Amino acid sequence: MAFEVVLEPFSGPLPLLLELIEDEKLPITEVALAQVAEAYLRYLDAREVPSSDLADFLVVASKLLLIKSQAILPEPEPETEDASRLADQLRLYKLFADAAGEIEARFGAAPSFARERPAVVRAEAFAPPEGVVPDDLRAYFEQLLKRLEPFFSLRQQSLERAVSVQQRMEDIRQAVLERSRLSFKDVMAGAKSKIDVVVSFLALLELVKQRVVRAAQSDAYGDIVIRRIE
Amino acid sequence: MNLTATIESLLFASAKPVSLASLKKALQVEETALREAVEDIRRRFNVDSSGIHLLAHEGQLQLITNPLAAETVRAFLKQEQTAELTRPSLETLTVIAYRGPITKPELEQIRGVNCSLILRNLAVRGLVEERDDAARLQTVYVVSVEFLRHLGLHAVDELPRYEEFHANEHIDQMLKELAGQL
Repeated sequence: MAFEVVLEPFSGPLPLLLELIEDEKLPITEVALAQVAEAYLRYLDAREVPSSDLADFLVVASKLLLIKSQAILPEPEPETEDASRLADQLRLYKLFADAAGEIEARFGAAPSFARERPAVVRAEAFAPPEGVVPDDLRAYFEQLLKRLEPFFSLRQQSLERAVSVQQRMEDIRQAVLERSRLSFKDVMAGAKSKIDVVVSFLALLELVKQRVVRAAQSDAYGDIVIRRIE
Repeated sequence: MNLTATIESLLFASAKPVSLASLKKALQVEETALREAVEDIRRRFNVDSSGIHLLAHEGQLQLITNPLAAETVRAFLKQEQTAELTRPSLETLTVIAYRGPITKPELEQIRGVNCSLILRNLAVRGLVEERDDAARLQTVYVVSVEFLRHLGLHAVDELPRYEEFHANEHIDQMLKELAGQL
């Protein structure tokens, strides 16, 4: 069965299914659904379905596969109603899809008008409240800066840490270049605080990720041996 | 001045659709008297020989131009032709028009796809309205008065085959079964 899927975007799984069935000139039945299951899957394969609708397309795909498997298996399956439900759903959809055609023909063809007018859009202008003096603006701005303070202090801290991780990576890289083998204890030797150790460890992880060094640890809590990757 | 004449004046003076509830409050009348008066206006206005018609939708009333005068009015007001609707918007509107008030899950049952985005777009364009259904404790969607004006309808039940689609046992049954599957 050579089946050409017309590649145009469908607004949902049901319009697609309906077109596949109508192209085959089949009535909407379980048998027809089983027949177009493959064409439906091929469409999903060939087309980029918008991720927002993908789940809906997949739900229908899984129902189609179930219907097809039931059609193929010779032994009588326990009665599931999914098949007839999908056919029902499609028939219901077709009813409204056809009605939509009539609405389309009428939409805007012979409209009625009412006295409604779009709300008047006011011209935008600078309209300060009465009694505002320049000093008020300064005060507002100061308040604004004050509100922003937590944000800036937060940023400064995270920047500092980023810089020091960067710095520590450079230190380790240099050390490994000179010695080709280094232990994490050596790196920690100059640590002044817990944060410092954490920063060193982050720097090490980053270097491992960048494949600059290789790190090995023989047992838990053991020293970490850092080697240069040639 | 009698009730019908007062209602006509209020509707004429209002730019936006007027709700039955606000009329009832403003005029201090019984529900039945109000409905009779509105029905009287509808019967006298919604005829070919009247230039002004009454649109009634979901408890909202609005005076509109006779749809037969559409071409002339449009040219006179220098109104642009309505922007076209995409296929998905059109389908969504159709389902809401025939089955509204409808919940999002019911709508998605029929269309087979998630409809959040499209509902938002239609609401922004003023074609669909959402409201809370106290009985069902859910948000339900209806088409707007503006949508009916685009179609030149006086009420949603003027849609072709409306009765058949709106209160159809077969469709109700299908929706119920499909919902049971969720």
